[in-house]
Amino acid sequence: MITIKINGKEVKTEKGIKILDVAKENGIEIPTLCHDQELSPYGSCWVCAVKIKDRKGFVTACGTEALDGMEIETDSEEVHKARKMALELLLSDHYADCEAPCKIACPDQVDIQSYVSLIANGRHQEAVKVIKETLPMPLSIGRVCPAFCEEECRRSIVDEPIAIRQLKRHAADFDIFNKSQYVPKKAPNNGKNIAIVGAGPSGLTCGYYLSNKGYNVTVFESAPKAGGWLRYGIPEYRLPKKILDKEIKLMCKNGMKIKYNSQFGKDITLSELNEKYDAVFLAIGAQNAVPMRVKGSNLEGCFLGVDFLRNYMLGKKIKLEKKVAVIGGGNTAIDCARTAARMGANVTLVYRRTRKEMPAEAYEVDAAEEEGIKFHFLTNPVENLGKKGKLKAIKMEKMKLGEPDNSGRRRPEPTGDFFKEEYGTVIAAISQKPEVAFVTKKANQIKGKELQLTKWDTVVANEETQFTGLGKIFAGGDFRRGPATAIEAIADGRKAAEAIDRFLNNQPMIDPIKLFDSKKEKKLEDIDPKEFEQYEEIPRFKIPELDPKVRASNFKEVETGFEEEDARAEADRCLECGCNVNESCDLRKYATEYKIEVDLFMGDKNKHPIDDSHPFIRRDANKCINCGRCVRICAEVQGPGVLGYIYRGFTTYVAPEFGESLSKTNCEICGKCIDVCPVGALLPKNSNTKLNPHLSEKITQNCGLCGTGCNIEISVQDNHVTIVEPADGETFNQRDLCFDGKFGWQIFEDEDRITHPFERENDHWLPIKNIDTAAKMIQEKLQKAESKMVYISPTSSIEEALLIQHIAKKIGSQISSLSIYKSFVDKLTDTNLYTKTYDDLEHAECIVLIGKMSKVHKTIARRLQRNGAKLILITKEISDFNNFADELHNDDPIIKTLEKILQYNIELVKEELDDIDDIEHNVDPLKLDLPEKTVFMYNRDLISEESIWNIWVISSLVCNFEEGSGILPTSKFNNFRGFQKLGINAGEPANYNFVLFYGELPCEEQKKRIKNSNFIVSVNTHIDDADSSHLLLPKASYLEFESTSIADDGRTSKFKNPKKSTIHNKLLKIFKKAGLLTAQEAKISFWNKKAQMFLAKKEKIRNLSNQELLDFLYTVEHMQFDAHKQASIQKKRITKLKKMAK
Amino acid sequence: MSLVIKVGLASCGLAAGAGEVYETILKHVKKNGIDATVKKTACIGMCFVEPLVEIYEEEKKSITYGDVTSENVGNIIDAFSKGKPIEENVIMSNILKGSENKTYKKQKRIVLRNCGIIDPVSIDDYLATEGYKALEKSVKDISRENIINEIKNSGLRGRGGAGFPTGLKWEFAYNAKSEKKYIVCNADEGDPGAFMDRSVLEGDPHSVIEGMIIGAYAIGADEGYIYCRAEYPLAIKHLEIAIEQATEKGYIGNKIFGTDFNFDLHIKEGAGAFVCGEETALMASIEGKRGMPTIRPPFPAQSGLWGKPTNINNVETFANIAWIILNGANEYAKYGTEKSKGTKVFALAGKIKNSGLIEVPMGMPLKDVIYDVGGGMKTEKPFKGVQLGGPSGGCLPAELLDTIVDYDSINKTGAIMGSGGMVVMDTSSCMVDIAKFFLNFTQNESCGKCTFCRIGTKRMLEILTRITEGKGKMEDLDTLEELSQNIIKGSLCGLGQTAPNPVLTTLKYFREEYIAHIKDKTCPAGVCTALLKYEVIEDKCIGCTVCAMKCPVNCISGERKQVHNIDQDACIKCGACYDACKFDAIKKG
Repeated sequence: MITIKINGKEVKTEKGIKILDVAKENGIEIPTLCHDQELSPYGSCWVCAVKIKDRKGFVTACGTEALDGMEIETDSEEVHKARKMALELLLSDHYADCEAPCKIACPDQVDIQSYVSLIANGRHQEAVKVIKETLPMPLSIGRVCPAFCEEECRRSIVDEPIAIRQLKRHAADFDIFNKSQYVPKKAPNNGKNIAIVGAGPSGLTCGYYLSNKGYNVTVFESAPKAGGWLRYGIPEYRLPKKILDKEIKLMCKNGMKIKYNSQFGKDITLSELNEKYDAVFLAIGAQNAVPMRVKGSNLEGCFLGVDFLRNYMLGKKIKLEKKVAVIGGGNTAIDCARTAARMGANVTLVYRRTRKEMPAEAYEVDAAEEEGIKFHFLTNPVENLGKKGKLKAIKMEKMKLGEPDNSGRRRPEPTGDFFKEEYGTVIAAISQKPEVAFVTKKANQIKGKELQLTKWDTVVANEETQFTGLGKIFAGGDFRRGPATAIEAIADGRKAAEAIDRFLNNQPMIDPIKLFDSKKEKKLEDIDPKEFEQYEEIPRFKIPELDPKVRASNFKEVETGFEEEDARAEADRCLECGCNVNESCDLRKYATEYKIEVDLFMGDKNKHPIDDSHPFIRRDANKCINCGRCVRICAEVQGPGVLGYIYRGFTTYVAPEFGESLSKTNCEICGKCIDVCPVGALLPKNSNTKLNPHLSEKITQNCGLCGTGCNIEISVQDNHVTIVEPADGETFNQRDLCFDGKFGWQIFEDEDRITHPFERENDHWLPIKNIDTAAKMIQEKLQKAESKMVYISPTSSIEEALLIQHIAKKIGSQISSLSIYKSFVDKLTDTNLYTKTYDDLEHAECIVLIGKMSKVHKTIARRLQRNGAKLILITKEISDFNNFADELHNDDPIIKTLEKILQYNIELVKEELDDIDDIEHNVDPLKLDLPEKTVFMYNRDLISEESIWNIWVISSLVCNFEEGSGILPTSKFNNFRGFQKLGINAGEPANYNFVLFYGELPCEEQKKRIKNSNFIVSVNTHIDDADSSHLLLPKASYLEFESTSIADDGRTSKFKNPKKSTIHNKLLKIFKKAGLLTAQEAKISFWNKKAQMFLAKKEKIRNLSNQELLDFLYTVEHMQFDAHKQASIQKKRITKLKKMAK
Repeated sequence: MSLVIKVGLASCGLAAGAGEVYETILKHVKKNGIDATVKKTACIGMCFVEPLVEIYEEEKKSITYGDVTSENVGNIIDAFSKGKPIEENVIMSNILKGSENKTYKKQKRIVLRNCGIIDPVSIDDYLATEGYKALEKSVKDISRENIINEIKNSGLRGRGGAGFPTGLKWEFAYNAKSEKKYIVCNADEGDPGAFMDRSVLEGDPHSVIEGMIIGAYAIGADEGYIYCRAEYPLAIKHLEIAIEQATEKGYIGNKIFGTDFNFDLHIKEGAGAFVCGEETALMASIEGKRGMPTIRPPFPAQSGLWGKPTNINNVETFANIAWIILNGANEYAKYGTEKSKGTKVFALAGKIKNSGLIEVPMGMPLKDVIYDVGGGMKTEKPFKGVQLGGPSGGCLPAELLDTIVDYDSINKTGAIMGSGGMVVMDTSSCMVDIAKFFLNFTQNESCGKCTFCRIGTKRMLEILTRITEGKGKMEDLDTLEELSQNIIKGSLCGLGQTAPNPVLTTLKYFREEYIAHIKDKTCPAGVCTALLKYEVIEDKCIGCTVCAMKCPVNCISGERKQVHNIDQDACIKCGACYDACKFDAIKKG
């Protein structure tokens, strides 16, 4: 034990421990980016810098051993500043976006990238779910939003921006016309009451989120219907009111109530609301039109834009003359013009600047033009001229553009050039402002104080929380902003809901944690187009519209919506700018924690094209922080060492040799580099699915792709697996997975994956729509069949095996497996000699890997080697991993090497035992000194029976079979051990009238032997060309139903159906309909229970007595040694056993 | 009478044409039947007057000629053999009066004792100067502990730059328990402008090898590596020859001098990465890995090459060893100051008259090194600063010229002794530009591992660049200092830990020059192009049109005999007009 001082506090710890770990033991978290528990200290990031008394400079906490008497400062100002600077420097060269620029541009911060990716994957309802986390009105916003997001879309550097707004609408339409709509789960009622004034987008949004959270929400609306500006400002042809009705109805599903025709200030007062409710949100909008200050504005025929639109929507009679002028350049002006045109008028829009400066969306202006609206640009009305109180003409002045004003647009300047034009109607749509007469009234004051207003008559409220500072009053939307967009109003409503919820839960209204955001550049135009050269141009899919000629005369919705295929293709154009690991990124976490100011060191950045050439690993060197974890894990632990540093100085970066693609290297695709990357420089890819940064559901279970049964963590989105990673925590496989486990599962999502039955017709597979048909086929064939056989593969779970055993029994058939073979050592399963567990391996002093082994086994062995065990490889495989071996035997075939080793051990025995005669042999002994604590590992499916025999005999000579000593055979089948226990044995293929292949796919040779079978049913996951069956039924994988297996070392592997698949239920249904199962037996839970009971019967490990062992050895059929030799070996073994017994 | 003619054929001599001179001498001697032995030797240190030829009948009566050419060498030999030596081009002589060489007189040559005197590829030459006697004495008569004590007593400190006591280092390696140990010679000399190690390896390779073998014996190593940069082909060639000769004579190999001591020596050619001069990076490079430093501890003495205890010393350090063993620690310790014993080799460069290689006793004031040994400034422009220790070192101003050559005295100034680069600057050098130059070097040579070094130096360089372009802010100076402090404190190896030194010392001693760039937008030395402005002085311009003709971008206009005008927007500030004007009518500022 040593004593050290950390931050002035004396602590005791073990000798040889690093400062980072001592600190952790004492609850002091020191940040680190380059350190990894599996690697030796490296010390490159310097984020773990600490100060040691009397030592010059800093030291790395990860790489410095704590020494007796050391005084360590882990969080002094000096240290803190240095770490902050290290992070700032790293981020100054971190050319990456934490969040996608579209999301940042959106006033409501909708996770666009995620929902677009979900749309690309065809998961529309999930997309809606993502949208509704921040934006509850996608049906409306998908139709009317000006799409600030699209302005920042990086795709526009390649060709055109993604049609984000229209994609949102596509997903929302899918949801609303689906048989069930997405409604978030409502939290239990919390008994608190909220009043909202105004059922516009802001008020509805606030009410929606609060009602979801369990509040009682009442919305007071003065109009007869809800929607606010969306209803009374936006014309039908842009947003059909039926759609709006559906949307509002859906929003009220969780209990939000709307009281119509309630006049604020009249029926209800602010002081009353403040008193009766726990919080109040004012979203009264900006409903008053700002009048034109020109002479003659009172003439008949003069309208104001907002009033015109509202009255039209309310169905009031409006008399328009033939020639109509609309004044203004905003969306309201366009809406007025297009509405007037649809009412049959000849419309001219008058705007004092040019088309370029128009605040209205360009696509709206284009649509108006297409519909025949005329434009007078650089024109300003100066007087309305009338006759007998009626408008007859407008006097206008020509304008020119001057210097830009505060808004950045060029200011219109008068030219003195006037002209006159005849108009019968003028609609002035310049601007709006809130109706605020109520404010000063006493009934609306709280404790004598009234709401504060700005000079534009908007309310003063905090931008983040919408809190007014008065009573419990919050206010947002147009009432706070003045006339703005619906999406901004929604953002205010959501922020208000969040603040109110925090406020009512006694939390600070603003979330104190603001995540750091790394940005490639602040604006789209600052991005260097060069990095986008690698992308192929794919023009934006244009959303279909009604023909201008058709639509100009009616109020039918102009945009008719995407076709499904086009929507998915359009969404697929997304470049995925935001980082998929932005929630788990260590760099972002520390940058947030240390409150990084990144501008200080902004300068050159290293820029690299993103390398997407590898099918499973995306490499984005722009995000790399040169911590070298990937470089080291690949070289020091995994073996291939395919990554390295290139160049020197600032330009140093990590890449495969010569900057080549990873796919041109020896990469074994174990994905470990991804797991160790502290940022998002290395990311997994999914060959079937576009991934996204949205949080996924995480489910932990075992892998079912071989007998090892690694612990995995499955990320699931919308019942689809997106990523598989090694499970967190102390598991035997730690952070190791092989290719299959990490990426191979993707086959269960690919095109050939089947989910319903198929019938063979000649060489084709035809889908069977009705499962009854499939069931009937089975039933009929079974009735006629005299001879029946069932084959089952050990990839099947205990549940499946019990089920199929049951069915075999029911139809009177035998059951066996084609995939396994009978081995002499199987008898030793569950004895003290056999099999070691993975946990037990930790005690081994030597690991011998024989034959081709999976990456996980190699990595586990390597880890044990790094902790001091000896690593011996006997293999013909050529692999970079071989370089790690303390001893490598690859000259002879495996069997030969084993014989030589055996010979050496026999000679050792000879010397020890005096009553042994000379043994004849024909191989030279291979001197390989193995400690007692040696574990032999091999894959029983990949080496010969003779080799296994040799391994067994060698082990019996070397091992004492206590902890860390013995054999751990592995299998490529996830449930081989289960099959042994179930007593399902190896079988031979033959012709029968009826054959059921469960998970089995006979090889060519086996197929010949069954080709005269009358009817073959195959239950499998995929359509396979090699499948010669007549009926194909879908089989669930380890990701698709709750089941269990027994792994190689006797552990129970658990599978949990992360995909919430019903494939297995379907299969059970077919069997039930075929009369093979009762209703009770057709339930998965029935078999789960059976499996549990079966597993509970797990016998204890049998201790073999010497006699039993002798019996076993004498009866082994594979004996290739003469009896004499056997006897001597046994004797040695028995002597050892005797010694052990003492 | 028989003459001896020696020609300096080191890289510096060869570059100046000594190869041709040597051939001419051979032909001349043969043709004229002169009784003369023509010998090759290496660099004597006076690179500024190469090719050098020494000629004598008796060694004590020699004349060394400088700037020798194929044309004049015949006359020199003829005149000497006639007893009437030519008195031009004499660099030094002990027969001609008034030809005492000041450069040479104030030096004390221990490391360079044989350089420029013996033939480096002749082991017999080396043996004639008591070569390998120290090795023999060591392995036969002195215990390992006593060798280490002798080196400790001599006060020899590592000449690679940091000045760690050599004896102590050897003791660490000696104390490390291992069957296998290595000794490594660091010949990766990477400082721009430094060529001490090259000269020693080219001129006297055996002295380095002998030092290494003694070191190996002392610490218990049986294998050694000389890590030499591949850009030193002649040094590598001479080393190869020397190793072969030493092996032949039995100084390398098994049972050296009949004892149980075995030693094997290899040369490893480095690719010339500056960071590979750092011990841990150097070892990584020998092992075939990318040259990147690792965390210390473990120190090389505990776990070095392939995990075995390893001792690494620089070329100059090893070249001292045999001398110390033969002459005794006390004799060595007579030279120098209390804490810095012996001599130090410097490579003089820059605006100094006698640029070349010198060796002076520790304790000599810088002033004397520059003005006496170095002969003072090259031009009339006054001294401005001296850069010591290359990119890891610092710039000292005239006020600090009394500083003595001594590890601790130099460290106190903020500069470092370093491996011995000494660049003298006059007022035509801009100190911001100098700092930028060295930082650019270290930035490019950073291995890229440590955050502060990789990105911090880059950001410092960007700030310096901004300042030299007139875009600097006063806050930049604080940022530079803050960055510097963290780079020094937060880097694994010497490269990073010293990289900010040139910036920090110039900021300390020449701060007003930074301020001039930032506040006045001028470069007082007239170096920073972006801040320069060339203008025609109307009173002086006679309209000769020369400037207009020389201007590469045709931005000077004006009629003949009329005052000319420079278009400032088009001017690329190349200075061609300034150089061309014979009437000083162009103002640079």
